[in-house]
Amino acid sequence: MTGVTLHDAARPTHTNVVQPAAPDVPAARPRTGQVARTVLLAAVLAGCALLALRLPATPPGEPWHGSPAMFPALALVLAAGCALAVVWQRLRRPAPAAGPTAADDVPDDEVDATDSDPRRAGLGALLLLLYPAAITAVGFAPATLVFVIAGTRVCGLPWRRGLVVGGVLAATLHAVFVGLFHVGLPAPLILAWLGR
Amino acid sequence: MHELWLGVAAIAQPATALALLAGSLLGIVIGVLPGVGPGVAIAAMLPLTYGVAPLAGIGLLLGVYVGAFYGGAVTSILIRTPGEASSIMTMFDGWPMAQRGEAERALSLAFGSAFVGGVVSALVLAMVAQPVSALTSRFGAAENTAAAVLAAILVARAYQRQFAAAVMMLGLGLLVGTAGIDATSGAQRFTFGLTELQSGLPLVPMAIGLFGIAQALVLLSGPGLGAAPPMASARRPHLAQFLEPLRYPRTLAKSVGIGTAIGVLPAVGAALSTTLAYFEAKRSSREPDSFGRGNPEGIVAAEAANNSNSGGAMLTVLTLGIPGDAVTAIIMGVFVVHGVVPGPSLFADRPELVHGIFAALVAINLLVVIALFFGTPLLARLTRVDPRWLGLCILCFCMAGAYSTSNSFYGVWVAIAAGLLGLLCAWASVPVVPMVLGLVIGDTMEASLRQALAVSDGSLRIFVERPVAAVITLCCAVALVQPLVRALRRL
Repeated sequence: MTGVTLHDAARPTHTNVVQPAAPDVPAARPRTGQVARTVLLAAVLAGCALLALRLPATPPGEPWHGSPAMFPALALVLAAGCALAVVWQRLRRPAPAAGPTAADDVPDDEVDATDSDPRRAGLGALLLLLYPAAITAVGFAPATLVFVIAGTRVCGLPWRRGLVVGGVLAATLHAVFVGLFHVGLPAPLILAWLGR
Repeated sequence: MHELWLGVAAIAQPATALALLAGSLLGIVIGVLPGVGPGVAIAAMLPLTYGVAPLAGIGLLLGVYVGAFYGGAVTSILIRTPGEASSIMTMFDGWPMAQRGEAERALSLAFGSAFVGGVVSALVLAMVAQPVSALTSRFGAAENTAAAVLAAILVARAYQRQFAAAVMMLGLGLLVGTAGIDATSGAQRFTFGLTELQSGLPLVPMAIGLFGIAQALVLLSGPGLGAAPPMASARRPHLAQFLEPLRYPRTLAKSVGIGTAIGVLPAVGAALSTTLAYFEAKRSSREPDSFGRGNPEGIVAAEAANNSNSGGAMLTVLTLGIPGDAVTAIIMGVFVVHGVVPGPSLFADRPELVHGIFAALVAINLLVVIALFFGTPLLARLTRVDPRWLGLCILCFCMAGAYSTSNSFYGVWVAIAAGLLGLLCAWASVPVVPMVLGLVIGDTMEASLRQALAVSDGSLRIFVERPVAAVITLCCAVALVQPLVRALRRL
């Protein structure tokens, strides 16, 4: 390395291996990004329209600035107006297939999903949705064990190691939350089914 | 002196001391682990602060925050892989030093500089916070509203070309934050007949979802570990070399100044402060070409600036009740959870808490450095952990944490919904930090705005007639107009 320039301050990927300075980084998975952006903007606009219909009424005799609807209405205009501005930007200037991506403008605190596989993430999200149901049915510790083992299948990790990791994790979380912080986890339905 | 002892006595409580130690150790590990930033860890750990005193909870999270700054340097130097984005500049001179067999010296320089940066910024915070708080305590509703709006605009501006998307998410956060029973009029807003929504959407599960669950889903759907990078061998850092940063007093002072000042600015982040400090050190050096080839001064500049962010970042929380970034927004959640109102009144209402925070910041830096002296050789091995395992573990932790927020599945479902929204935002490259900020400051902003408008009988002139409010409003206008003009020029 011969000296350092500002451009060397590249963003680390989620695996934290810093990429060398690259002025023209291809946008990874641009299609996922476009679909996600479209879904998100549509959801924001639809949500704003729905909430606009549910704004509370101003009580009789109350001035506009004392209305419970004043601040939500301002926030709604801000969210919907900027969503429309983003749509307009996209229509005028679609996301480039190459060159610095929008993610390059995002500060460090944000989640960087550049290397995320949408199919795996979707399966992970599905597992997550089933996790509370599993906790209700069989209890927290067994559900956690099953979740981790199922998760290893989704991510392509060895399931035998998942058995160990899941077991240790379930025991640790149970000890911390139930033993230390006295969180009342729900009684598993399976006990009721078994007549206990 | 009395305040100093008040702070020391507050952190000497066994539960608080234990929380500081646990947070510091965890923070170091978080700084080293691939893909997990302090924001994710702090969001996931937020429920653990429910059952402890406010200072112990805040100390735990501050430990993670500060420890992660140090942890990032270890991997930057030993395996040329920064644990945090803010540690990238450390890598440029740390790795070449490690390559030529000076890994211990590079680590000692990094820890020594970070220690000076962290302690000095905590002391600056302790000295500056009370006078600033005395000033902000004179703020009326108009000034508080204008200050909150200015913070929001500055956060959105940090997203540059994403400005519109950031404001959209900020608006969404403010909007979602209004759900529940309006405290002033008693009217129900966006509750859809659900009892759970009458007290509003809970902040903690939202933060767990937007940061923890979204990041965990990204980690488990990622490619996993690539080929293991080459690792420089390192023994324990030397105590004598720990003092070496003091040979660069000008660089040290300038970097701490840059780091602390940038820490105060909303959403700018430590990465920019390390970059600025590094290039300032290079610019003013007699041997600028040696930077990037293992110049110790480069490490001193980067690490001192990096760790001095923590003190600055807490200033706006303690004096105005306005967080500037994701981490301080989540830390502010601890105040909210415990019914403590952050802001200027904190110095009068809870002096032991404020001075405890100052003392905690100093103590954490000390604990982290001691831990690093003994544990550095082990830490680099943590980079071999596959991020997919981390993703699975974080998801389980988030689920347990979200459940514990209300001892029911309500928190879990809120967290899952927020997590899916966070994942969608991550794919769409749309920021979520402004949304969390909107959720956190929404209540205060609304109350101040309504109070200001009630005083002025609905006239907006109150924001330009009062001198301080007028200055802040002018700053808002400049901050808002500048990117708009730039955007219009690009069209």
